[in-house]
Amino acid sequence: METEDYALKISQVRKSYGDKAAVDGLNLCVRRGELYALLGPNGAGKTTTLRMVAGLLSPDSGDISVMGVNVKTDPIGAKRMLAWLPDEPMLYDRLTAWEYLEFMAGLWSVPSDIAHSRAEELLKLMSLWDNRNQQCQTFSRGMKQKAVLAGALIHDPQVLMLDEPLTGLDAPSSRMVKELLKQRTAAGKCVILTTHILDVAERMADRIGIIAAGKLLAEGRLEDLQLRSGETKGTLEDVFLSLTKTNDADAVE
Amino acid sequence: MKRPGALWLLRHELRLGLRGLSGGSPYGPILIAVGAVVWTMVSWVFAAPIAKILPPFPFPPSTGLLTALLVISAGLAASACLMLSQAITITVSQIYTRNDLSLLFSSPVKPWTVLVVRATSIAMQVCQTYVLLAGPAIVCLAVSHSPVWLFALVCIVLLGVMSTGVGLLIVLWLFRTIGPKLTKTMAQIFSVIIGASIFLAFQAYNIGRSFDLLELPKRASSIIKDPDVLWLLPARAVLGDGTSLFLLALVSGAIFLVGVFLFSRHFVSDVASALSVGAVRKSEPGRTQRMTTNLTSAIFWKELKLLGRDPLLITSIGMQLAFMAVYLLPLLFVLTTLGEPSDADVFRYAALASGLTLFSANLAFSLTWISVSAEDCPDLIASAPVRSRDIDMAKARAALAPIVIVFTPLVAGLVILSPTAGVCAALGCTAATLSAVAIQLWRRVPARRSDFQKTNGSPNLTATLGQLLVTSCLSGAVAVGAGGLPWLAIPLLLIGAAVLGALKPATSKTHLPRS
Repeated sequence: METEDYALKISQVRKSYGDKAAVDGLNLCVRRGELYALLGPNGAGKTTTLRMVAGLLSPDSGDISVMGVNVKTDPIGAKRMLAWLPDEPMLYDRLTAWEYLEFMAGLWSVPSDIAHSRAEELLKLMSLWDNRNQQCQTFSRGMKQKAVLAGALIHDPQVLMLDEPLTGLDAPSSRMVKELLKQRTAAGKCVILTTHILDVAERMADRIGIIAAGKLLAEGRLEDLQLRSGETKGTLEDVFLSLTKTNDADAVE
Repeated sequence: MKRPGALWLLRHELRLGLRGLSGGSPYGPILIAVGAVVWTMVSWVFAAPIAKILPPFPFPPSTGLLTALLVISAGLAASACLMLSQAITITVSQIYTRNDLSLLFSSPVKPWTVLVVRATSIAMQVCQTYVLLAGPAIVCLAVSHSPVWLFALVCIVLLGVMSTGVGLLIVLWLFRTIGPKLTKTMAQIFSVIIGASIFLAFQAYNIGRSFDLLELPKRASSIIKDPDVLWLLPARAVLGDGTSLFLLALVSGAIFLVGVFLFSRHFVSDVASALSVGAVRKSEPGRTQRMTTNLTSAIFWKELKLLGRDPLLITSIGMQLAFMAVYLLPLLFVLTTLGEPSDADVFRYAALASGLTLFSANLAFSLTWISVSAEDCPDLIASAPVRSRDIDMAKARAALAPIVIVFTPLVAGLVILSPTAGVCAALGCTAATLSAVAIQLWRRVPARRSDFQKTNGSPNLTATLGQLLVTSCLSGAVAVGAGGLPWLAIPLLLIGAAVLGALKPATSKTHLPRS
């Protein structure tokens, strides 16, 4: 496959905090139109990886490219095509939902007429239209999560990275978000999500990567992972537990 | 399992308090210990010679005793005002903004126990600074002169306890009168007014009177006709009068208990309503503004909206400036009485131009801290496809906008009254605000908006001292320039520029995320 077909390519990336390697020679490729679930136990290096892709951390070594644009050499170009949702909503409590989207559109330089119509569309989709003039500090956790998702989508990113996107969402909202993510991949956009709800990953992801101690232990479709772990009839949970129970497991080359 | 009691809870509060004092750093306790040792040594150096010249207790009735009573009373009054001011602020933060009360109320601990422990913790926080500052000197006097001096330490604690009781009552009254939403803001205003009141009272007394230290005993004799008068009771307690100390303890304890008792009557419901402020609000009907998505205007408006919607922050800034005005008033008074009467206007306008420079710089320093250092979502900004320099410039513009709005008419007015002073003020304000913004950009340390009161909008001590020096040089230069001595401004400007140059780091910091 040509490099240009990858929405995200991570090559031999390392990141250490003091003596501890948070990400240790990670290789990861995600295609356009793919929903990739990055799974791993706490402290596995998932968030550090996503933060490096988002340009918030510099890798000690290795390369990261988003839609063929190198994050190190052209960070602005890479960020333009990217949206990142951390597990804690990044929101200004004293801005209204509408003002927050306006601010996000400004940061990503979305033309105002497009931003206006997209904000309306997204707020209606997220069932926040009636709350658009309320300050975000009055929102519940789920509403905040939907508001930041709307903010992340205002510039229609090519690559959407979500850290625990379903936290705090009620059942209808959760389903809406899942549908939205599917629609995006169907439209050729790339979605990368981390989650501890393995059922979600099992049902939604085109490919799953399992990471531990900063290394990719295994990746592929569920069947591939089942084969690799020896849990041929097991659920993703069985596979995950089997693969992550030993820290010295071989990394995927 | 036994129900957790007041002592257990107090230990928990003390642990949190100690961690707060040490800033959470593992070296914090060591630094505190080193600081305490150094302070004790300094205190002993000053207190030991005093102990040698003091007559033995009880002091004989004399002018010296009256002077001592007056000085101690003034010191205690100032401390009590500051303690009360602190008690109000701490009460609001401990009762209405610390979000662990929901957890405590959901536990088997009685709300009354929680309140008593929290009130005790407030009293301890109120006392701690004064005990730490005065403690070593008092202990030195107790060792070298007479153990009776330990009464002074007890008096400080009793004043703290009394201030806490009064503070609880004031906050309760505010809460009952204006509701939870405004209490936080109003309590802060009250706190500052009470804190400043004693200094204002002293200034009001001193203005128009020549102050001579040698005349203090004479003035003490004229003020104090009867040393047994009630308002000297705390001072008498400090000087070892057992009856006075007992009465002070009785009054302080009673006020504290009344405060706690009255507070307890609505404690749970008040806390619940304080915590739910802003949680339920009706949605405003369907007005949708047109979006403006230019980067600069997006950041500019975001900063202004966040600032405008934070009354606590605005009050803090306003009060910071008000405090400055308190200190500047005597300066203005002195300046206007200098020279020949015909020169009075020149001095007055020079002082105004200098004052405007000082104010604009401090406002710029605070506002830039809020917009640049106290970014609520640093990760969001860092992940946006924008150069950090562009973000900084947009934020600096947002910080400067209110200053332009506030100071342009003032400077324009001064230009009409005195063109020289007006032009000097315009140049001074511009230079001072730009240098304040530059220092904040160079020396930024990520923080939270809620830290504004704690840090006074300062990233660190170096930045604060540097800004103070640069601003002082600039306002001094403006004063002498507007006063008709422009050549005197040159060395001041050179010093200011040198300090500014020294503050500039080799590589400017970028807008890095907090974690």
